[in-house]
Amino acid sequence: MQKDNNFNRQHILLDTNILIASIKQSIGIKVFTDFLSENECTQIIIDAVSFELLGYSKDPSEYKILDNFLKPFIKIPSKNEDVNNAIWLSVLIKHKIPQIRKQISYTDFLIAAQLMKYKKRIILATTNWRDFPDIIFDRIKIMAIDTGKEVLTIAFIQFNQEKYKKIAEDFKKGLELLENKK
Amino acid sequence: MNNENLNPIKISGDLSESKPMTKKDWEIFFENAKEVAEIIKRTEEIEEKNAKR
Repeated sequence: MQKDNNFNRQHILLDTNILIASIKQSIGIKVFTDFLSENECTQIIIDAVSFELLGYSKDPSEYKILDNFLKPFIKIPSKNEDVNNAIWLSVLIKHKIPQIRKQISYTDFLIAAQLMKYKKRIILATTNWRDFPDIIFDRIKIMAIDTGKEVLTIAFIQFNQEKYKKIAEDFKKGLELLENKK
Repeated sequence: MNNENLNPIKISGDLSESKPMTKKDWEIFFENAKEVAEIIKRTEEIEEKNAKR
């Protein structure tokens, strides 16, 4: 895998599905992890991803193993502003794409809120690229990995401030029209 | 002992603290992943059995 200037020393936010894929299919996924190492990327997760993975433990010994496993990753907490942005992004996206309503989880929107906060400083790696629609996000790279059992598609996604601004302004105009009608 | 001391979870990271993982680091990660895979498998089997009940 060649070096990619767009990824040099970038922070990569790992979705839960990437961690699970790394755990279950370690042979194929090395293409992905080698790419991160060669580009000196750092790996981070958000609190909700930690919540999802630690939720698999059923006793203290399993908790210890999972906790130790997550140690190499910096865990970003969701603050008040992130929760507000997660809900706000969910409103905007679901208004634009109503059929997506039940598909995207709260965790996905918390991830989206971090992408919104850090903008070009963070790139998301996920297999669920549909949960981060291109009306707000950019898919800057797609990596197809043959695991033997299946072909895994990993999308690298970034927040697009211009796309967001247009959608948010349209929505606010709609709110203002409602206010003016009163 | 207060509730904070009873809770071992610490979610307080910052981007500036993150470090790149070398290929050697990933090898250790994949070695640890074997045990984690077993835990996930066992949990999913229990959940599957419960769902069938």
